[in-house]
Amino acid sequence: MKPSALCSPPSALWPSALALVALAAIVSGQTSPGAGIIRGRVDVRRVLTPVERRPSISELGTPVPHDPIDFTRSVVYLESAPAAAFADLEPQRARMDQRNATFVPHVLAITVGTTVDFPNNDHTYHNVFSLRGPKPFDLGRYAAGKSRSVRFDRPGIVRVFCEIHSHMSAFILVFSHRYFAVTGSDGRYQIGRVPPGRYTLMAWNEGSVRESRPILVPEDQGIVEADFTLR
Amino acid sequence: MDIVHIRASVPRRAAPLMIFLGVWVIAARAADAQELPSGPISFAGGRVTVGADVSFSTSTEKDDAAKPAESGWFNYTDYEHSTMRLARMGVTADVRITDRVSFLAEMRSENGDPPRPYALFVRVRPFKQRPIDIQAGRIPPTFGAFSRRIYGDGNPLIGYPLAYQYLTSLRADAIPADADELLRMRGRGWRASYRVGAQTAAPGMPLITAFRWDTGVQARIGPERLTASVAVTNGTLSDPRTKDTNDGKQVTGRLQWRPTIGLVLGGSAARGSYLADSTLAAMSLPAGAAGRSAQRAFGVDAEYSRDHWLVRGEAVRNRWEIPTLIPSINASSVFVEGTYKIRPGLFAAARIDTLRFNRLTTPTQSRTWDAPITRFETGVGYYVQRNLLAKGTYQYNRRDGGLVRRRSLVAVQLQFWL
Repeated sequence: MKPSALCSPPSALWPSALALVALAAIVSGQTSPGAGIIRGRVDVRRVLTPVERRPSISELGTPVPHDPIDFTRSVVYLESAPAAAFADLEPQRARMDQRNATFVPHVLAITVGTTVDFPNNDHTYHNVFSLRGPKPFDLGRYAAGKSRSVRFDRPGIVRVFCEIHSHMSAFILVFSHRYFAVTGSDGRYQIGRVPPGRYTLMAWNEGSVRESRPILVPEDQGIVEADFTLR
Repeated sequence: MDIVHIRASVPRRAAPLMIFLGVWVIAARAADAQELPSGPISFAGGRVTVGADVSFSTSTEKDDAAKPAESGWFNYTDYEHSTMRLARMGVTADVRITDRVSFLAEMRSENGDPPRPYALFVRVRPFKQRPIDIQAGRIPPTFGAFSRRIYGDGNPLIGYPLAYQYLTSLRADAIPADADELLRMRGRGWRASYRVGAQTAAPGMPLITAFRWDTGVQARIGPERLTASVAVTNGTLSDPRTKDTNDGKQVTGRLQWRPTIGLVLGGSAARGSYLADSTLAAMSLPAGAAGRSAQRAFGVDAEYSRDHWLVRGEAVRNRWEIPTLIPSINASSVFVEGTYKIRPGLFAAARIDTLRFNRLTTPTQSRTWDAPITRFETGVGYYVQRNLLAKGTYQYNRRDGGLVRRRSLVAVQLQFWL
């Protein structure tokens, strides 16, 4: 991916970029029994302003507060992966809560075929939807304690919103392989069972790839360290 | 008509454009010049949030005073614009001064008019742990529900409910000398004139205007499940004012209950003096008649939503006193609207709406004091992106009076907001 393209709107470029993963894998990766580990830390130094609700001009009082969004979570993944990586994907189940008018987690990374549950844990309606990307959907309004789900069958990036609460948003990254990881609260990540080979490691944060680098996973089941600083 | 304009030093037509461009520049800069944001712009550590709302609508109907036989004025507003042919730009701001004090404002321009403050108030939460809020300034309406749906996507159609937009033949600055004069104005709310008070012809008043907010103090108490609100303002529902033109303040109250998630029930009442002192002073009234200048209104509203459905309805009963007429004049309005999402980004909506008036009897005639009107509007909306909405509607109006009694029209609208 060209650096200039990394700054483009995710909805426009990302689905195709992630779809390329599948194509690239066929020609680049080599499966080997001596799988390695890629790990490191992503230091997010970008100043990200949370999406606030629209000014509550028409409210008769102070709106109910909502939880802050954790922008520090990033996704690190291999741009290309061995062809065998696509064969062993099994249907998974994931969860994105709606809690205190915030999607939790704010970033979810899944494999193709995963079904994501969207439980409502607030005492108000939510209406989860996505207009673009690999899976447009609209779950309608449902109350506390209820949950609805969506199965994602195509790779790409899904922007998730709530129709009722304008500040609520989240990302779901759907991969066609399993070589990805979401960073923890300390920024650390680990991608395991990576077959030896040359890859391009991508670091994604809040809608776009911020940095990429070539890496070599050796034949001796070694550990590859790769840190990123995203500005 | 108490309309306050902020006079800018820039040319009249350029002011709204400059506001719009200013918001755009801020937005682009805040987004690091990579993409336009889909949400409001926030800066100063989240203490300042700026939003924008822009809409353009046009329709097959064009009201023209030079062609009275062809113009129905069904969608005319007290700002003398048609809601179906309107370019509107608004900029909203929320400045959080402390955790419990905020300053909120909206500047709005319609059809290139100079921007005016639609909202301008301070919000105070005196006790951090108690759900009590006080707002003062040009405040949001306490009465009813529709007039607080200010953002473009709050109205699933293009037209407005009759109670909130349709101009009756009654004015705040001029009154009929007798019942016959009032009856002569049936169906002429877009341009009414009377012998008492202001002598020039001017638009009448709606039951509740959705295009201006009143000035005063408002308090809300209670958790989200059950809230009570009360406001004291300078104007009335029909004629909100920045400065009081009479000694009578309007008192408005509202009770809102959410018995279960998805259901909202509301009840509102208001009473205030709508006639200006200058209008009353122009008359020689019998003792006691000068005090007959009140507008009273009662309303109930409900909203129910589930899955892909959203249904709303409001009923308003309104009464105006006129010093020159012994019986008060009444108006009642009911509307029900529904929205259904057909698939992601696409919805259909419809509203049925009616406005009725009580009958006046004179030695020569017995008729409703204004022409009853019924409106049906239906249409579809499509979200081009999350904050860009295209709508197309068909509207049918039927009125028992006026030169044009039936009018069908098709309208389209494009809305963008941050």
